[in-house]
Amino acid sequence: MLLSALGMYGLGLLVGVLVAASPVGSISWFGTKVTDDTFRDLVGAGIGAIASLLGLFFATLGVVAATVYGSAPPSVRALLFREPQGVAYVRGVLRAFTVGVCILTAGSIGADPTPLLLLLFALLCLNSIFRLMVLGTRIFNFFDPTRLAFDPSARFITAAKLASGAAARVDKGTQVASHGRARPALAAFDDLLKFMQSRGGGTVDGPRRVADLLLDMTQQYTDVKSRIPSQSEWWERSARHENWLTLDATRLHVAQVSSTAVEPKAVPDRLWVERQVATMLDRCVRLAYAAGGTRAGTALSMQAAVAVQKMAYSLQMEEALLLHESWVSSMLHIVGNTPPDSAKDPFRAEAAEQTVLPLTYIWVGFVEGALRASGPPLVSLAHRGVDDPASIYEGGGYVRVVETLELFVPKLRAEKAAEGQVVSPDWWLEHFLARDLAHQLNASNDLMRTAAESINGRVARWLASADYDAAATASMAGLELYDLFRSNARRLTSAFDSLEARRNEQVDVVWPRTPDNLSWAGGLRDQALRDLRICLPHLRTERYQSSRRDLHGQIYQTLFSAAFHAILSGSKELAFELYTAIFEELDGLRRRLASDLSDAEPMVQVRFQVAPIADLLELGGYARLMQDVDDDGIWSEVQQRWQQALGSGPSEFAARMVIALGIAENPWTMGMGLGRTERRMEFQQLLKDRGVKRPARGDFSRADQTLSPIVRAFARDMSYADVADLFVVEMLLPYLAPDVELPQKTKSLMHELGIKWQGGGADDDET
Amino acid sequence: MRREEDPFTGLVGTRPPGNEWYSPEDPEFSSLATQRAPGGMYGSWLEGDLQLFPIGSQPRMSFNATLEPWSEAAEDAILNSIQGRYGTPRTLADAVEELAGECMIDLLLGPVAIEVEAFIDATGTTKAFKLHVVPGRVLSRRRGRLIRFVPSFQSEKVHRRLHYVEVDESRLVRFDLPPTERAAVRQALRALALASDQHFLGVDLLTSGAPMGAFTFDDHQELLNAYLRRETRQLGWDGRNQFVEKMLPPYGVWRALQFARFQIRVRDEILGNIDRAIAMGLDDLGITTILQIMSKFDEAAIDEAEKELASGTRSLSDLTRLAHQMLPRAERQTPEN
Repeated sequence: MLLSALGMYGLGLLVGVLVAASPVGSISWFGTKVTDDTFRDLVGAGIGAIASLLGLFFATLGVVAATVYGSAPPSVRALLFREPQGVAYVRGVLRAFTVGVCILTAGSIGADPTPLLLLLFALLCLNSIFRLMVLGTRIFNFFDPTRLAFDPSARFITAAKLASGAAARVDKGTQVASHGRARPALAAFDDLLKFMQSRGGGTVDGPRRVADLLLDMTQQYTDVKSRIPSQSEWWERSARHENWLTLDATRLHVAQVSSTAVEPKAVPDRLWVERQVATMLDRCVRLAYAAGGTRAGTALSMQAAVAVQKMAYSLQMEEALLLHESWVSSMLHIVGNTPPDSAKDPFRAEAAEQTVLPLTYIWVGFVEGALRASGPPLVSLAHRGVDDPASIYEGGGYVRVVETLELFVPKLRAEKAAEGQVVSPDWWLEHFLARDLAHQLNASNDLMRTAAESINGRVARWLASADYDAAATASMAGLELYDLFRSNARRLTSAFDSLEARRNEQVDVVWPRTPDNLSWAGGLRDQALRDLRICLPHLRTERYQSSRRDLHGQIYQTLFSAAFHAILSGSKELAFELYTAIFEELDGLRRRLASDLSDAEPMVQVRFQVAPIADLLELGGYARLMQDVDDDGIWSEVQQRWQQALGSGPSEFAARMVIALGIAENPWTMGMGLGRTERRMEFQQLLKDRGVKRPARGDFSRADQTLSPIVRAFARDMSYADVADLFVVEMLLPYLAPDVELPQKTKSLMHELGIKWQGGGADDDET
Repeated sequence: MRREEDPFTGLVGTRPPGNEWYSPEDPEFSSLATQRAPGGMYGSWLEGDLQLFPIGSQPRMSFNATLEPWSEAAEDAILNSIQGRYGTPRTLADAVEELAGECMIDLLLGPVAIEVEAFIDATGTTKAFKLHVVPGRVLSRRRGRLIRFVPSFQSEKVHRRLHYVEVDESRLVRFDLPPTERAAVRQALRALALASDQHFLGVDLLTSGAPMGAFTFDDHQELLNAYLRRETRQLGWDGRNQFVEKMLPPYGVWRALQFARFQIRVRDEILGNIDRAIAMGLDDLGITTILQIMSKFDEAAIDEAEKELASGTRSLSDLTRLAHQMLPRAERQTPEN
């Protein structure tokens, strides 16, 4: 652009100077004839120089082609001659050359040139020199195959735009032509990558550049794809075999009497581009990984995620998940080829995480796309299509809807032609369009579910091979995804509800069911938590390191929160599994905190050291509470686990627990944390949701007398005791020596529950 | 049958001799049958499936026929007045249906008349009557008097090179389709005739060995269907489902309702005039009983069905069934009833 501007500026300046310097000082001078023969020398010299430059250029190109691209396939060598700067240079030179030859030829037959023609020749020569300068600065592009990827990308996009244009919607010839242009462009892209792979030893930037182009090309294609007719010749054809059990009688008879097979139908393959792009993207990632390790391999994760999210938003879920599969394959290649002992490499973990993370982007895009698609009435598309059939592709291009519209609109137009009006009622059209969109959303949701379910399989394989780092990272990412499924379940349901609201009960057709994501995502989440439980002890670290992800701490916190929620929700099996994991991690956690906080102030050390103990006691307290609330739970299992740890008689361990709780409840150590308050509020909400009549503040007598004393004590908004104190009272008290000083809140709770203890720490009021 | 004797024994008909049943071999046939043009497949469909022609099947009329007050003499007179295809009809509904069917054959092609022929005994008293359906195309006027063309062997009188007998105009009940329906039928018959000519174009191309070019049977058929849909839209006929089979289902229902509307209009026109003709015959006999023909479905039912189709408050299959039930067979009444 800059060069063009400079060129135009130079041209204007030159014309101005020449006009000013012309013998007559006017524009008419340009029309006079140049009779002086010296122009022949000038033009001859110019042509000679240009021819030399052209020859040199092709000679250089020939050398590059013979050396760097000697083993390259012809399609890649063809790209060499399509390099944009080289093409621009050759064009400029040829223009000057052509004008020069014309001037000399005309002069030799007596037709003298005008000064304007000579001026044009001079300008074209200058232009060639400018272009040579540009070419010179980028001459090394010819040595880098990845620089040649721009051309096939541009050619493909041009072809895709042609396929989605107005002409291609009605003209099969244009469709065939667009396919004919796109296919070699993709093949050249692929050849280029294969060539890069065969050469080896490339840089990190090259594959990344090609991958960038691929992803950019894919995103542009996503935009135009929805406007391509479903039966267009743009799509490659794949075979669809007949179901012999549902074959019509005639064809079955013919096939049987002639002992022949039934010819499969050739149906459009809507994924032919994405399939190739996925393969090429995988090649790029592997090349980048080979050249630059894990960091280079995972560098494109964000671009890939954005690309698949955009596809999902356009409800091109098959396409998005196809790319995701390829991405997973690439990431697995990185994880598998990076030694597990290099767990300190954060990018290996990122690769493991990347096997899951794009799914969250896809899911977010899908939910938003589903809400967008299910909003406006679809029948308006049919009405618009009656006036302008091409407009059916402008309504978002949802495959099933477009296919239905392609079927409906010609018939509606036929109705209008026959009757002067469209006869089929709106409700009927809307019913079927909404149903087909619901089918598409349902199928997409099922695809998503299958993709999500594959996460657990991969994690299981990593666990089997003791690759806990990868397993934990993927499981954590999986948890995020499953929670997203659950949190978005209502929004997705609203999209289905919106479509079902257009259902007409008079039409007897199968309506797609609304997916129950809460149920299956809950199952996946539970499995991920169990996987994390397995990982937790293996990921124990001696000390926190800010340079790497604190998987151990993250998993502990996740499991603690999950254990609390499992206890509240009555998921007994999971609750006890997670509780046990937390219980068994206590010692390791204490040691790590001691190490992590060795340089901290004593007060800080104490506060953080006692927190996990108080948390564990609190979890036990909730197990006891929920046992009374549900009349069922894990309390007996929790008791057994503690009895194993405490042994019989007074226990030093129990005493340490109680002392730690006393410290944790001391205001000097910040008392109860925010987390404990939140958990308490959740418990209160649970009681409220279950219709438990809670006593008003300070009016304990009005509490539901059918509740157990324990539940009544904690059903109030405010309580003098913490849930951890309940655990001390219910579990640890018999294991405490009489001289152990009970925390003040424990004593308050004992007083409230009417429990007497003759130990040294008994409630002052009672003693 | 309550009587086995011929009720016309000893009676003399007042109708001039001769009938209008021409044979295709008759030289007059071509000049009198010019309108029976829509031959070929479409012609047969029109006759077989338009359901207005009772060829090969019973007509479908949705009505009840009762006498008010009931009179055995009136019932006998009516049953005997109509010559059914299988003898004397058994019930009043059968009788009316037979006559209506005969009227419909000709009514679609032009005006029709029902001639009431009185049968008198030796004293000149009318004892019975017969009803004859006379196609409008065999009626004409000569010097102000109505004449009826008959085959040459039945009359010596000639008018415009056709033989005729004179007709007592007062004994005729003449009627035609309402103008809108007449125009619709004319347009449809023209289109059907044209489509019949085009129907075998593909086969002709194939058998003649001419280059097929871009011709496809499906496209050609759809072109014909589109043309016929447009040209028969006033009738609503769906060409034995062929015009609508590749269209959306609500359109097929809509066409069925339009066709039922057309059928109701034709039916009402015919039944009203049959009622008039029978009343004339009974009046000759001095019987005051009135034959009441009550239609079961009227256009209001179609209007309601169209509203239900537009609002989606009734299933398409129900509406289709309704459209087809608009014109069921006449309800049979036993003599005891």
